[in-house]
Amino acid sequence: MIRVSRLRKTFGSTVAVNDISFEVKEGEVVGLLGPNGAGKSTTMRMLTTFLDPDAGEIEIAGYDALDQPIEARRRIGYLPESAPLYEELGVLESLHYTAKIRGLDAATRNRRVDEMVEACGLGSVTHKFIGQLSKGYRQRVGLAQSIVHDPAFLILDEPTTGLDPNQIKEIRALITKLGAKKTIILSTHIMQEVQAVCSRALIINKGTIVADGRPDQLVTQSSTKGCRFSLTVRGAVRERATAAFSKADGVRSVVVEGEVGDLLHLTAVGANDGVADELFRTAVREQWVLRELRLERASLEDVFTQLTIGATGNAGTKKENDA
Amino acid sequence: MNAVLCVAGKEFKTYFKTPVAYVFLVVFLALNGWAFFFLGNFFEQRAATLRDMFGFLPWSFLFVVPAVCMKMWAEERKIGTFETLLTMPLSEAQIVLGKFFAAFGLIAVALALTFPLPVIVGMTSAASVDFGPIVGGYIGALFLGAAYVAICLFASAITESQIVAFILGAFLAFALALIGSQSVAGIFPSAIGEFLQLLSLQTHFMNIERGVVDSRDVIYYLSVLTFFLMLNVAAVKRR
Repeated sequence: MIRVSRLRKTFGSTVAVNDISFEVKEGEVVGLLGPNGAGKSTTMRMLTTFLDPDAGEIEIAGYDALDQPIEARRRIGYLPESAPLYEELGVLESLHYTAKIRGLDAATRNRRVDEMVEACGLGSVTHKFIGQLSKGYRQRVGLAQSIVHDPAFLILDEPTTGLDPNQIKEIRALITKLGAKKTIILSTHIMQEVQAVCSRALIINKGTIVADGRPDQLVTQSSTKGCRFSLTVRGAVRERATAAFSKADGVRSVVVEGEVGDLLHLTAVGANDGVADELFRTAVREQWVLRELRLERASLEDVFTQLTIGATGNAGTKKENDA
Repeated sequence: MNAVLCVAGKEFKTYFKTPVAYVFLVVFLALNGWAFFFLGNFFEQRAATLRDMFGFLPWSFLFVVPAVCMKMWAEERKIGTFETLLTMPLSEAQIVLGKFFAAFGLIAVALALTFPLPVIVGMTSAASVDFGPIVGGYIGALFLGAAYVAICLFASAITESQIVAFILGAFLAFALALIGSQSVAGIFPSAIGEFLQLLSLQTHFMNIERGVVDSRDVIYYLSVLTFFLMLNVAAVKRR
């Protein structure tokens, strides 16, 4: 279990992390989401005891990370952004060194390094130097190195940044595989990544947590403000259509998006997804041909934009106002 | 201790994976040989000492020790391994000591490789050889090298540029060596001049090199060593 309470870190006059609290339970795969500069890396650096917070507490598996950093470090595997490695070491050598510095005895070391080579698909590059590896393989070596001591917690800072789509898939699959046995916190600014691998998302903006929940939950939550429907009808006049659909039960607003020939595109916002029925009945009553009626699902991307820019939903700024 | 050895071992081996160790050894031995044969006018004097070689050490170390130490921390910062290294279950002091022993080990190897020179002295000298100053000289050289390494390691810890680390390390060592020389200490009133000589790396080295291993000189070197290693730990703790 990782417990973080009222964590704060400033660099000069910039507040990087402002009063963050959260808990991560065993087995969770948590995605730390946020725009660049939101405080993701700083938060991770404090969790891994690389940086000391200005205020707040961090507890890793029952150990106070500030009082007993060494104990905390033993239980954490950490892969910083862009997987820094010693270029002049060989792949196996690098793994052995990490295992040794982590205090594994010779027998355990050999066994774990072999397992890591197997698990991270490094078999074909064991004879190479790190400096000769592609970005994707470097990332795998970094990952292998961060878990060679079999830590309970794995902290990955933007593990797929700078990789090509195939490599991204491979690394995600690897993380999912590892995630079955470990508690993982990973940061990213790619939404699909969270949807693909995380059981929970924490959205950070300007150093504070603005949303916390299962990725699909966050999406539903944001849509409680209403369901958006995209409609295309034929044979309707602009004004008449707006008026008629507006009067349908549960409809809050109707906007004409455009007209192509005799096709009219509208967007209607309703209280719930049942409003679709009313929109259909209205079209039938008015004898318009309904060419399309689609419920637009908010994606995590929308939620993210709403929360971090606050242009449409204002949820991000609302929270600040509340506080 | 295991952790210290682990770090030291890796760093020491890394020297030999890059040209650093070889270039260092060749340049050092060349400088040293030049000091022995030509500075000391060996062929004419046939002196039974290594005095001129040892006398030149504070200056030849000035080029080569910063080169050996400059990448130790600066590169870790530059490529980002600083972060992984400092989140290993090791204290900062253990890592600093590990790096220190690796660089010091290379200096020791370099000094060991000068063994043909005392052999030559022993074989060619007309007079009987007093090995006291020679043994003292080597002990002093190890202390001097250790102090230089500590200084240059600290310089490397406060920057991510190897060049800055080199220049800063060389400058600090140069300043600490030079303040004891007559040209600097001599221009001050005698009280201050004597104090500066007390602080100088070179003055204490000359004492030991005469064949007298005085506890004051040993304590001096251990103090310099501890002081800069502690500064190094502090620099690393500041992140």
